[in-house]
Amino acid sequence: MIAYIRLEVRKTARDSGYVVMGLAVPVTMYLLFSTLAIPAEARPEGALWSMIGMAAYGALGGVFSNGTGTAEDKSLGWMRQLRLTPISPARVIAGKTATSAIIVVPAIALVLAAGAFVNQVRLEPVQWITVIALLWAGTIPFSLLALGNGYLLSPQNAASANLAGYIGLSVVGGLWFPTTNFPGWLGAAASWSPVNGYANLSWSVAFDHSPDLRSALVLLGWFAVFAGYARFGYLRSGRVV
Amino acid sequence: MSRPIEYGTACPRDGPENTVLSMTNAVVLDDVHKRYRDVTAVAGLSLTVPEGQTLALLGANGAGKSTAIGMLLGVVGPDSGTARLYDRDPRQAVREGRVGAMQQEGGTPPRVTVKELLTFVRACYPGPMPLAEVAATAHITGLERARVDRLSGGQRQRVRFAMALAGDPGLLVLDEPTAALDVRARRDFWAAMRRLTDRGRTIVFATHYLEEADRYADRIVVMGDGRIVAEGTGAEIKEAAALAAGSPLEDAFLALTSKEDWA
Repeated sequence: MIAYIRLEVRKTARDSGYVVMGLAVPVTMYLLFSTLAIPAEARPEGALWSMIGMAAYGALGGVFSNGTGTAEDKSLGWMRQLRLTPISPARVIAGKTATSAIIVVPAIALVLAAGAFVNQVRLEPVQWITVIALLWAGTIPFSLLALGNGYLLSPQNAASANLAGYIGLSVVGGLWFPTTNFPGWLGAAASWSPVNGYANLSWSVAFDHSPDLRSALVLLGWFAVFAGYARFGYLRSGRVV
Repeated sequence: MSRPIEYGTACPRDGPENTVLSMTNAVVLDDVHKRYRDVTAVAGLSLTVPEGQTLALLGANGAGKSTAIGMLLGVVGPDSGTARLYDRDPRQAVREGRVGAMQQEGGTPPRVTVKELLTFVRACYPGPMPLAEVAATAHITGLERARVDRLSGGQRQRVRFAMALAGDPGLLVLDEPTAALDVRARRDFWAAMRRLTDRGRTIVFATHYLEEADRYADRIVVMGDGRIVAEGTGAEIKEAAALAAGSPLEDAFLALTSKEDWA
């Protein structure tokens, strides 16, 4: 399975979708937001807030591009070829999820490094560690959503669905603009959205020193939904492949 | 003649097959059927391939060759009947690394090099072939560092063959393996196959190149409309079609696969 993960990570690292969506855009947006859009008096807090938002945005870009890559694998016959090699289907899914978990690391690291070294964001060591861990582990539900799209849809449709899901969920989740600025109805919807649950876990650690329980529960709920969706997608793709 | 002569699969004939009949069968399909909505792809196919034999599945497009191969590899579930590889469920045989397969098309991932891909495939099998030997056998030496998705059609076809043999499995199942190859590459391919059969490997390949089936297979199974319309050597098939000796196999093939002639 290590050999499979190695192959998949190489394949993803050379994917321009991943490099742009997961690495280049988030760090660029972060530096633009934090230096141009945030007024000087709000800069320390704003730089911290948008560092977490954009790190989450980059991590999501990584997992959604991985999901789109899965649709590509399907159309190229690579998934079918895998079924003709000794590697088991469960290991293929596990390997694909592990690949997601690996490729989000540079995406998160890049934005956090920009925050720490360019914008002088300061957190206590335990906060850094918790934020990194939550940003990393919190991508798993979205990996499953993106893989489900990849299994179920054609490459073009999966790319569209993943891009729309990625941008839409990021905006509604408050990664770009704080949900406190949203109109009432949208703010209420945002507080139940998966990305808001994901990012709010890290925001609550960074600003209040403890993870928000409600956000954790919202994210866990979505985790169950997306896991069921990915399983459904994989079983269905096995039928038609 | 109102129906084709069925040559029993256990029917021995002179030649190396006699010595392998006592061994395990690599492939046994027992009365398998498969329908896709209104289309019957395979309608009652029984087939036994002893270890060490090279078997050609010959037939026109739509004859049911690919579905038959899908069932013997365990990726297509038969509606009825059973498929066994080495007396196991096909999926288990695949899982144990006893099988190498080449799909009719596709099957290579994007953005990886030939070497990276083959290294992965080799790592999946218990006793893989050394990488240099894989490359030499499949005639891809010198392409190891190239990206698979940037190769020409013929080169990629050879890489797909390399994937099937990289694990050095006992059984190779190849669906139209020479479709995109030019004359010279095709000759190289069959020379490689000869080396594998010399080492006791079992090979099942689908083709609609009659010459290839005649020249390279120990036994030919001609399929039409999802069933076997004849099987045996090229000479036996000609005999079955009651054609004069020396007529091209193509005539036999056309006679055997044309519905009207057998109605």
